Amino acid sequence: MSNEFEQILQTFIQETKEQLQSMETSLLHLESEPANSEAIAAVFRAAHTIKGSAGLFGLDQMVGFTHILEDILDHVRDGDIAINKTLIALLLECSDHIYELLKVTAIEDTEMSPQALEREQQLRQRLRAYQIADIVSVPAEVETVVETVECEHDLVASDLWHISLRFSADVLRSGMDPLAMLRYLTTLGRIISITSIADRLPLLTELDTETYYLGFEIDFASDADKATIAEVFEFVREDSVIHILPPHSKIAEYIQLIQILPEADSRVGEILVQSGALTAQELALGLEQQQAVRSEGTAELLGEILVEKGAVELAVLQTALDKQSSAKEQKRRENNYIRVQADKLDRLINLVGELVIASAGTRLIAQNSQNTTFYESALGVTDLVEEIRDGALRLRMVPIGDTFSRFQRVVRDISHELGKEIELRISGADTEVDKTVVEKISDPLMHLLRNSMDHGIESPERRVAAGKFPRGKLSLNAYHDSGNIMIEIADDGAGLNRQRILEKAIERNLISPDAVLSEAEIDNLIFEPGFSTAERVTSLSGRGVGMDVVKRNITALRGTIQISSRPGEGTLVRIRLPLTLAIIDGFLVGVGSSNYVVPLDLVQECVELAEAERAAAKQQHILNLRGEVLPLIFLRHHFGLEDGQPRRANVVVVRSAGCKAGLVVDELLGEFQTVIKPLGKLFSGLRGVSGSTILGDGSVALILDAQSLIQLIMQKENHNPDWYGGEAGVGRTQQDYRGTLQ
Amino acid sequence: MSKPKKSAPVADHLALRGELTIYSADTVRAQILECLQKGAELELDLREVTGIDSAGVQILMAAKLEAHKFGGDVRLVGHSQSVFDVFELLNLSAFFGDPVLLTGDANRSSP
Repeated sequence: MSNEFEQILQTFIQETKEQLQSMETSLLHLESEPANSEAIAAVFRAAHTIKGSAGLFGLDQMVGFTHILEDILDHVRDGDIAINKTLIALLLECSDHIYELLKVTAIEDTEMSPQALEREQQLRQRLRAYQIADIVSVPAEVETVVETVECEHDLVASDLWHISLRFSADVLRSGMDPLAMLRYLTTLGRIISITSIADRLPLLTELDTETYYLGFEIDFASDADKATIAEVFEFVREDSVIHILPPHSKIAEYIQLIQILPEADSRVGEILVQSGALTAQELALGLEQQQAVRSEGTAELLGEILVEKGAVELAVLQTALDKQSSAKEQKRRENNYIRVQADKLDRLINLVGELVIASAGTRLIAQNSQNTTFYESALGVTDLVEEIRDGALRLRMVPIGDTFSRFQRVVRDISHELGKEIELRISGADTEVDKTVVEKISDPLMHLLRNSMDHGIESPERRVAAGKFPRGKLSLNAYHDSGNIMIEIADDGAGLNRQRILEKAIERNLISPDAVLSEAEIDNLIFEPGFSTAERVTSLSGRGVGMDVVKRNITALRGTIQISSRPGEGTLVRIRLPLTLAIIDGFLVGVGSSNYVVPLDLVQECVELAEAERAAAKQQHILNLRGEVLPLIFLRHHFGLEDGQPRRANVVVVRSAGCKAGLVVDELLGEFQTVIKPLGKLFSGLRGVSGSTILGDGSVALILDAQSLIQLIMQKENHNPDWYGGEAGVGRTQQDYRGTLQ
Repeated sequence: MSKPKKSAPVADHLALRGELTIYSADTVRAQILECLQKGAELELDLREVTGIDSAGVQILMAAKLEAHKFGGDVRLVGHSQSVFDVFELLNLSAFFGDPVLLTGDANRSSP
């Protein structure tokens, strides 16, 4: 496969995913608002576009399946098929199946599995029910004036298809030639008669050579089915007026056609009779019937005409508006977005990272050069580089809303499955966050939502019994909070059962039976590995592998998660995530000849460890910080740097996941823009270090992972209770031990 | 495309050549209009038209209408195979009303 083709294919895959997403969103929207014609049109457009582009890639299976969907949607759009929950559910399943088709045939380029094929067969069957319904019964329901008196035997004698074509004026401009379509049509059967309608054709002086003016009435002998014939005009179907009447259609349908076509009724009638589509008698009968209906109730007549006229105008207006707005929408999109490959962006971010490092180096040299002008200019460069850094990082920012809206579907499906009524409310969908973060947060969020639905929100009966509204509320909210993004998942369910959590935790040896825990601490126990309070295991959650994985994923993103709950009122899970993974603001500290970076957000304060306190602190590994007991980590000792005694010592107080600790270092070197470089695989087992960075002078500094450092010392303490020595240590152990559990 | 004058007394004669498609449509339109300004009678020679598309068909049809308006006519002569095929497909012979005689190597009999 050529590179170029590969690229186009990637674009197609990406766009199709977006189309499926928008289809799903609109379908869900329709569920709450079935009459929303905009949503119907959006679903149709999505199906239409998917089919069209899949055709370009020769993905026949996808085209075939989407075609059925599109066909039905077309009727839905025309109001021939009423949209209801069953149909929406079916369409949702179909959109899933298209996604599967996309995945298998376009991305993996393999064959569908037998199960998938069987599913497709079933879906096709279910869809067919709608198609048949549309052909047989629908016209009778829809047409008010003509069809009311129509009898089943009023079918035309002609055994030919009648195809009526009024191409859009822009068909040539869009690079298509109706001639080619007609030629293709002849491969499907035989054109028995064709009448070219040149009524719109102007004189040569007024002719615009790129505008198309012609129309055709065709009688066509073919064994092909309607879908195959309609396919010929596939790509012009949107804008052109195309009617395909199967052999032996109802006379009424012809009458309807006569009325719809832009030419005078008598002229169209004449053409139809001439071409043999209708016999003169049939035409007369049809018109007579129509007349009869009209004169039957003269009182109603005016209204009917108005309604009919109004309906037509409305439809015309609607189409025009739709077309306009979709064109506008398209244009707006084109103006606002440039599609860039993610790896190009990654490369840019990497380069900006290097630039940040290089500029820090320059600044350092400038600072040491004693040359004020040079230093000033270096500072100017640094400022700009910072702006570039922010700008570059913002390029990777995407609104979290796309991820959120995906959950609508999940909530809908799961609430059906559980027999609960649950409504998902989304706010802060515009909140932007780094693309990598978005990708990685989706699974944990999904799990939390499932958990809330499964364990949090009660069944409607229990809710009513508890005096609540039967429909449960689940809300998903996102907002920015000082360099972090906060995501909140709240439900109005039963809340956590603290008693059960405690029992379980004791049963699983997570805490000692006599431990005294605060409510918040109990709540957060559910994030412990191997913890599950569900009394019964459902397919969704309750296997006890969920929440600790969620927590681990979020920690891996340098985020934190907290849960709070009120019995009977609900549960709130709050996730805090850094906006980006690539560059952080760090705090540079020096120990001996080595440098370390502590993420700045974690730094609470810095205090000097006075000479007098040093000896005691060293022995006890704790510090009395304004009456608070602060465990200390001597980095010099921890990293085995025993090169001499420092002149001074400082304590950097860090706070991570609710517990505080002090890092004892030699020097405080100040804030530092840190470009995170991952450590090699060799160091993946290293705890207490999360990455590395390169300083301005080219030396390497390790980025400290405060949370795992704290955990590390707590573990040591566990295994060796005397490690801290001294009585103060013992008195404090219980409290800090609990702190780490969160 | 050139337009050699023929000795025919009333009708101007214009031979169209090559592809009569949307790409050449504007040129051809101008040519025909120029001829029609001289007189409402025009004979279009299609012998050397190697291809025709919808835009081409429309021009020929509109030319006919234009001429009719001023009491004249545009006659098509020497339909090439490709023109013939399209006229056949669209059933346009009636519209133009010209006797269609195939020229050149095509030996298909007319309907």
